[in-house]
This record gives sequence, C-alpha cells and structure tokens, in this order.
Amino acid sequence: MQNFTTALKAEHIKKKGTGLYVVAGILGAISPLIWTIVTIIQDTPNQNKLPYNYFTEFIENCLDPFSTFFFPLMIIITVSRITQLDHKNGGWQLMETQPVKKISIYFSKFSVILIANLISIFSLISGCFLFGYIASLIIEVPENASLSFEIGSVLLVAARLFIAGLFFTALQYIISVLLPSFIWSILIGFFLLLAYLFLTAFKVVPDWYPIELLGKIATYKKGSDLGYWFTYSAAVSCICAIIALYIGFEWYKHKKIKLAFCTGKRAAMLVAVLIVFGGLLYYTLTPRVMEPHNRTVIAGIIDSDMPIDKIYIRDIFISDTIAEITVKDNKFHYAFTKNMPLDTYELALGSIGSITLTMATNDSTFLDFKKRKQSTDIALTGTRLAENLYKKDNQLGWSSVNYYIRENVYLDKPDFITKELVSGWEEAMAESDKFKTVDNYVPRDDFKQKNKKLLTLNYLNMWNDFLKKRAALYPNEETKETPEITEMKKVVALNDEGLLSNADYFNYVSSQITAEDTEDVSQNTKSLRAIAKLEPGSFKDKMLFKQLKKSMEEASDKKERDSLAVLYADNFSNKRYTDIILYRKQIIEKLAKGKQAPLFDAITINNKPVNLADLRGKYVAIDVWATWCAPCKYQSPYFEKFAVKYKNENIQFVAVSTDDKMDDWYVEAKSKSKSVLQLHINNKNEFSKNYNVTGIPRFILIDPEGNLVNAEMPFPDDQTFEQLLRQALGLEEQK
Amino acid sequence: MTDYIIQTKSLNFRFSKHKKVLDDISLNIPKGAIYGFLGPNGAGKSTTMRLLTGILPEQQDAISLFGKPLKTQLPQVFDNVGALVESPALYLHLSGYNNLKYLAELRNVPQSRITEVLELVDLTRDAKRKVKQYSLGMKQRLAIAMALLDEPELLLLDEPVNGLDPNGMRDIRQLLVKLNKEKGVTIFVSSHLLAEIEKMCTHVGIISNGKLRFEGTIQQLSEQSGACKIQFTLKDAALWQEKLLAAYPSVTLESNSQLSVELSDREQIPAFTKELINHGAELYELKVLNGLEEWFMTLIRQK
Repeated sequence: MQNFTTALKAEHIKKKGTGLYVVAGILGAISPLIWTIVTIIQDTPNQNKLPYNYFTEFIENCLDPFSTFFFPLMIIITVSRITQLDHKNGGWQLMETQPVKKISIYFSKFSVILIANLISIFSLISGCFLFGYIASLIIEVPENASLSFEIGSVLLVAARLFIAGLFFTALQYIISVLLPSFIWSILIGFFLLLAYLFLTAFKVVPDWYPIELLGKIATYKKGSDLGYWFTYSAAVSCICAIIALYIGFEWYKHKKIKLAFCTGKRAAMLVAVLIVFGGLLYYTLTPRVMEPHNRTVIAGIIDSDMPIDKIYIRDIFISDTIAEITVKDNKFHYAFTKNMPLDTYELALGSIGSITLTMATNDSTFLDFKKRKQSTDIALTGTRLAENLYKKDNQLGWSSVNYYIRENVYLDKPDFITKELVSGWEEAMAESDKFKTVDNYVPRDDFKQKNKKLLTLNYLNMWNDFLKKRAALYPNEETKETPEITEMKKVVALNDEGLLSNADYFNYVSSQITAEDTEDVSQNTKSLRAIAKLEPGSFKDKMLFKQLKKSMEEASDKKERDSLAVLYADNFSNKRYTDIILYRKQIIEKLAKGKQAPLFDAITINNKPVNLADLRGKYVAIDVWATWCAPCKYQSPYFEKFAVKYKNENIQFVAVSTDDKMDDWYVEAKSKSKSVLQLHINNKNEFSKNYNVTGIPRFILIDPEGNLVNAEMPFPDDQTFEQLLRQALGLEEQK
Repeated sequence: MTDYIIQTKSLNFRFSKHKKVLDDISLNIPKGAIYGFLGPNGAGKSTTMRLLTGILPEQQDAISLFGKPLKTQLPQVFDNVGALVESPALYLHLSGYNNLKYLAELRNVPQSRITEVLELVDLTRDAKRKVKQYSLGMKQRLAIAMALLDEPELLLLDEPVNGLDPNGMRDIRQLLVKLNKEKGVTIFVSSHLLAEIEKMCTHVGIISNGKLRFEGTIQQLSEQSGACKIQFTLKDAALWQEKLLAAYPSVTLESNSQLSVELSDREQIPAFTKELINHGAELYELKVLNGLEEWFMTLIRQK
C-alpha cells in the first residue's frame, strides 16, 4: 500500500504542467455553462410543478450533455494523455527499473484518471451551483423552487456518475496502456461514443455498453424507482470494470497475451475470474420479475393540498366501483377479497381526478401521490412496478402503414400494404418484450401476453380499415388475406373477456361479428343484433353493455331509447347490468335537450348569492372548472373569446368553479375577463350528481327558459362549439 | 570464491521459434568490477540488458543478481540497482530537476540527493530548464544522474556515452571510475566500441551473433590477443626495414618514415628499442599499436 501511495505521489510530480486536472474541470463546467445560456436566452415561463430544488433540477438538466458527451470525452482525453506521457518518453521502461510493483504503477495511473473523473463531476456540480446562482439573478426563479443545498441528491448524482464511468474509464485505460500509439485509444473512444448514437436510434444498445451505462444516468435522472442508491447498471459498470482491469493489468504485467493467460496457472486464474465475475454479470443483467404477493393489496400515501378522504377503485369497463377506501392521516390500505383479473383499473382520488393502474389478484401496489395546485406526481410501486411503468412507454410509435391507410396512399397495392402491415406487427411484437425499468424489472408474462394481444389488435384494426377502404374503392378486386394475417387473427380471440376494457378490442370484435351483415342499417344496430346472438355469459354481458350504452347515448330521442331498452335490456345474464343500463338511460334522459336544467346555488366574487334561475331570460353558457385543473385553464381563453365576441347577443357566459379552496378561486377569478360571470358553486357534490359530471372542464348550454340545450357541449377550442352556439342563438352560419 | 553480482547460466532467449537471439550466454560479473559488455549492433547486447533488468521476461531461470534468482526479487532489487536501458527515458515536459524529483519520490530518496547528482553530472545550472530544451549530451548525463540517484550497488548502463562528444565521454568515464573506486559500485556497461570502454574496464565480455565470444579481465584480453605490435617513426625507414627483416620477419613499411613490427610480447619492447638505438637509428617516435582492436574485429566476425 505504501508502495502504491508512493507511486501515486510520483505520478502527480510527473503530470506537472500537463493541466490534466484543469482540462477535466473545464470539461465538467461546460454543460452548466451551456445550460445557463440556454435558460437565459429561452427564459421559458415557469411550468407548474411540485415544489422542487432549483439546483438539483439545474444539475439534472445538465446530465444529458455531460454524461453522454463531455464526461466520456474528458475520459478519452485524460486517459490518452496520461498514458502518452510514458509512451512518448520511454517511461514504462523507466518505471519498470524502479523498486515499484507493477500493480502500483498500473493502478496509481488509473487512480489519477479516477481523480480527474471526480474533479470533472465536482466541477459539473459546483458549476451548476455557480452558474445556476448567476442565472437566478437574471431570470425569475419560480416561488415553489427551493434554493437550498440538497446534499443527499447532489451526492447521489455524483456517486452514480462516478460509478457509471468506471467501465468506460477502465476500457479506455487498458487500450491506451497496451497500444503505444495515441491514435488507437482516441479512435476507439470516439467510435464507442458515436456508435452509441445510432445504436440508440436502432434501440439495440446492450445494457453493458460503456456509454449506455452513463446514458442511463441522464435517462433516469432520479435513479432507482425503488429508492436504492445504486441500480443494476452501477453493478454492471463495477463488474465490467473489474474484469477489464484484471485482463488489462495481467496483459500489461506479462507484456504478451500468451504469457499473461496461456500458462497453466494464469489460464486457470483467468477462467476463475471470468466465471466468478462473468457469472455475477450474467446474474446482474438477467431481468427480474416481481413475485406475486400472498394477498391482493393496495396502499399508499397521499400528500395533497386538497383534502382527499376517499379513494375508489373502479372497473374501467362499466365504471363499477370495486372498492371504496377511506384515507386516514393521508394514508390508506386495502385488501381485496374479490378476484381481480389482470386489467387496467381506475383509481379515483376523491374529486380530484383519477389515475389508471394495472393490477391483478395477488398483487401488492403502493401509491405515492403528491399534489400541489395543478401539478401532481404519481409513483406506483409494488408487484406490478414494471407493468405500471410500461403503460407510460406503451404509446404506439408512428407507423408508416398506419399513415398509408389513413391517408389512402398505395391502396392500389394491396401486397405492399399487407407486407408493411405484417412487418410492422412483427417489429412491434419483438419490441414489446424489450421494456425494463431502471432497476432491471420486466413485466410478468401474463401482462406481456396481454400486451401482445393489444398490440396485435392495433394492426388487425388497421387491416380491417384497409379492407373496408379497398372494398369501397376497388369493389371488383379481391384483397387476399395472407397466412401472416391469419396468424395475427389467431393471437386475438373473439371472446377474450380480459381485453374488453380496451375500446379497440370492442371495435374489433364488433366489426368481426358484423362482417357478414350487409343490410343497410347503422353499425350500432348491426352490432347489437350480432351481440344478442352470442352465447350467454359474462363476455356477452359486457359486449352488450358497452354497445347498448353507446346506442343509448347516441340515440336521437326518447322513443328510440325506449325501444332499445325493451329489445335488449333483459338480455343480460347478470341482472346488475340491466339495472346500470336503465339507470344510465334515466340520467341521459334527465339531461336530454329540452329538459329543465337542474338548479344550483353559487356566489359571485363580490360574495353575492346567485341561483341559476336568476339567469333566466338569456341563454346561459356554463364552463365548469377549477384552479387546479390544467385542461380547464387551456379551454378557458377560448371560452372567454366567445364571451367577448357574443357579448351583444342574448347570452350570458358563466364560469362555475368547483374549487374547494375559495382563496385559490378568488385570486384567479378576479384576474379573468369581466365578460364572463365568475361563480363559485356552493354544493359541489349535488351539482356533480345532477349534471352527471364525470370530469372537468365541462360545458353546458341552457336556453332562456332554463331548459337544457346541450348538457355536454364540445370543448370551445373545437369548431363545433361555436357552430352549436350560433345555431342555438339563431345566427347565420359563418362563412 | 569470487562474489558475483550478476551471473547468468546458459542464458537463452528467442523472440520466435526460429530466431534465437541469445544462445548459451554465461556471464559472471564480479563484485567491484567495471564490466564492459562489447558487441556490434544487433549482437544481443540490448536484449541481454533488458533481460537483466526484467524488462523482458526471462524464458528460463538463468539470471541471478546478488546471488539470488532475478525473478524472485523484482522489483525490490532495484533498490540497489541503477539502470539506464537503451535511449534515455526522460519526461521531456518536466525540468531536469523534476525528472529527478519524480524518481526520488518513487525511490524514497531525500531531496538533497538531487542536488548532489546534478552536481555530479554538471547539470546544476540547467536543472530548472525543461528537458525538451536539453542537448543530446545533457539528456544522456541527466539519464546517468537518474541511474545514480539512489547510490546503487550495481549500475547497469546501456551505451552510456552514446552521442557524447569526446570531452563528455571522458567526463563520464572518469565519473564511473571514481564511483567504482570510491564507493565500490559494480558497473556493467555495454558498448559497441571497444576503444570507448577499454580504458576504464576491469573485465570484458564480448558478444556477437547471440554467442559469448570472450569473457575475462582486461589483462586476459590482451594476453589472448597475443603479439604486441609497435610502430615507430625514424629516418630512412626503407633502409631500416631491410636491416631488420632478418631478425624480425614481420617488419612492414607503413610509410616513408614509419615501420611497424610485431613482437611476441610487451616485455620485448625495451630490448628492441635499445637494440635499435645502439645500431644508430634516429628514432623520433615509438607507439605501441594495440592488437586488441583487430582481434576484436575478428572475434565479432565469427559466425
């Protein structure tokens, strides 16, 4: 050890005047400098966010350029320079004729590089604090940003960067020591750096790729989902670095690869190292699957600026409440007794809104929910961690075949479209298994299977669209179904109850079972007729429920709804569906055109009570909103625009707030356009029930007699909103 | 029994199966010797040097230093060994002083020693300059200073006077002799020029084509080389040649005024001179021509 410190001290004499550490520091500080310039130039307005630390976020924003470019660049340069010092000047021989162990020589140099790495990371972080502070003097720092020094997260990001860089550093080092020409190590370094770009584009970067290990720091800025300091990539980096350094050192020590590894003892040692660390690496890289729990449980912590006292778990398909959970001291815990098939469920948080989660029987799920004003932060952990994260990643990417079919391109070339469709599907199938979390967890097989079915469904629906378009455009030409399409169809059964929560599946089944029906009636009618013929059971019940609900909602009058009820309401095996359908019918009818709008009480900004009845004599357009609701805020300027545009017409624009906190509403409402009457609802729950408010924003139009014109108007940014408005007011259509 | 500091027992070395670079080299360097290791370029001198320092890994266990196998002593053996192998290894971006300081740190030598060795090789004035700006001779001297830094018992020097001017060569030779005399340092020095080291060596080993052609003291060397040749300048050289031819058949006319003759040994020189003077020769100059050089050339030409 003394030998090593001596060598390390000597290395520091040797590197005098090379500015090695200075370069490391400069390359570390470039990212914060660039980011500061960007923030000052862009000066983006504050996005609404949960309270956060200004500096920690500043560091996180610098991670992208640093971890996949400036840091590796610094490593390539440092390693090359420090090894060249000895290659150029015959230093390797000189060191060998000194009473210093080769292991000390080798690792003292490596330590110098590691120190340079630390300096670079330190420079990044201090640069972030320095430049971040300067930027904070120029731009406005959001009030929910804290300017304190968060030692924990700073240390974490520094440690993660350092460890992630180990493998790349070791790799560059062994190459640079073995090859005396500087060009090779630099060439290989840059090749690895550039190859990362296109490997990422092709999505084929292996987990152990040296730059990918660093890239993960930028991708997962917060690190582990499970609160570990280090993820599996950190372990991979360490293990790979150990293997690389072992091979590199032995090679350096014995000069020739044959001498280093081909004699009996050394070969055995190499094999031992490869088995132990290779095995460890294999174990670390193997994706993990969460084991099921012995019960079905959901628990969580709620941290919200609005009180949430109840949580509802709902079946997405019929919005049936499965569980009602009481939140106590901002915590909740619930064990399900019912069998829960693997599905996406809705978790409604009081009146604030809802999130979806994937779960099944014997899953344990933990929700960490934070909310301040409009911003929320949701973290779902537990046995379905990977599945719940997968959802976010699962957006179907842009697909060329989808574009062709939608835009009617190449419809005259069925072979081409079919080929594209099949290859797109095959690609999607292969891709679907690739997802893993930052902690190397992958979804369980049941989820993967189901996910594959859903993905296939997308392609089958494209295929059906294509067939329809072909039939319309080229009625005399046949579009052949290839064996691959038949294969796709086999993946998705026509009676898979587990898929019904997905609307695409419903459409697919509906179109498949009505394919033979060529009568000239609406798709709704065809679908109902075909569903009625299915075998009784829960699959039929659900199909029928969905179709019937849709038909009811789209029915033009009471007569049609009545006849639907008579024909099909008793067709369910489970009578609960009959009840729900009839109840839905009742609500639809209550809010139908011409029905009297339910009355409600509210107060104005000046604290004067108002009843809806007071507004009679004028048309009333209502915008139901709340200060915490971001989509409401998006729509409200459009609504106000119409208020100004039609202020001379016989119409009153009203914004009804459902905020729980009067103060929030008061501040925001005061700043709004005077053309809109700002009201705050007195009894939110009653209002929601009467108007069947399932989500906001919601727009309602009432005539001068107090009767409903439209209980669910389109959003104001949609053209039809204005059309409906003009229609009701008896104004000419705009040209 | 003599104490051998370096000993190799039938040292062989091959870079590949077919190319044997060293063949059965047995060296014995006694303690306190200045051992000249001679051979033309490519004879295997540097390979031997690199094997002795462990820079090239040995293929058998033939080398022992200080009476113990070399392999077991690496790298601690360098506590007592100063080595200068091939082209001087110097850090060009550092000053001469810092080059020495680097080694002093590695070898745990007190800083005061640095000034001493700088003085020794006469680089004190240039110590602060970057080695980049040094002349070839200065670099060579600095490299020697680095080898001397730790007051080693054994010095291994590969072509130490290469590139030095005659003055520099002489200085280095004097320095080495002084070290050998005063401190008892054993010196193993290689060269491809006999004349370069002949004057200071106590022992000589001659290598050519990977084989050791001769090993022994400098006396043994001259004995082996046999006859002693003298050259003398005198008036009427041609005349004298005829006169001498009967007694000394080896007399040859070198030029108008020069003759050379081979005597069986050095001891005959005084008698021969006396005889010459007695016969009335007008002698201007008499020079002992070394036979070594020629003998050396024949030795190394052997296949």
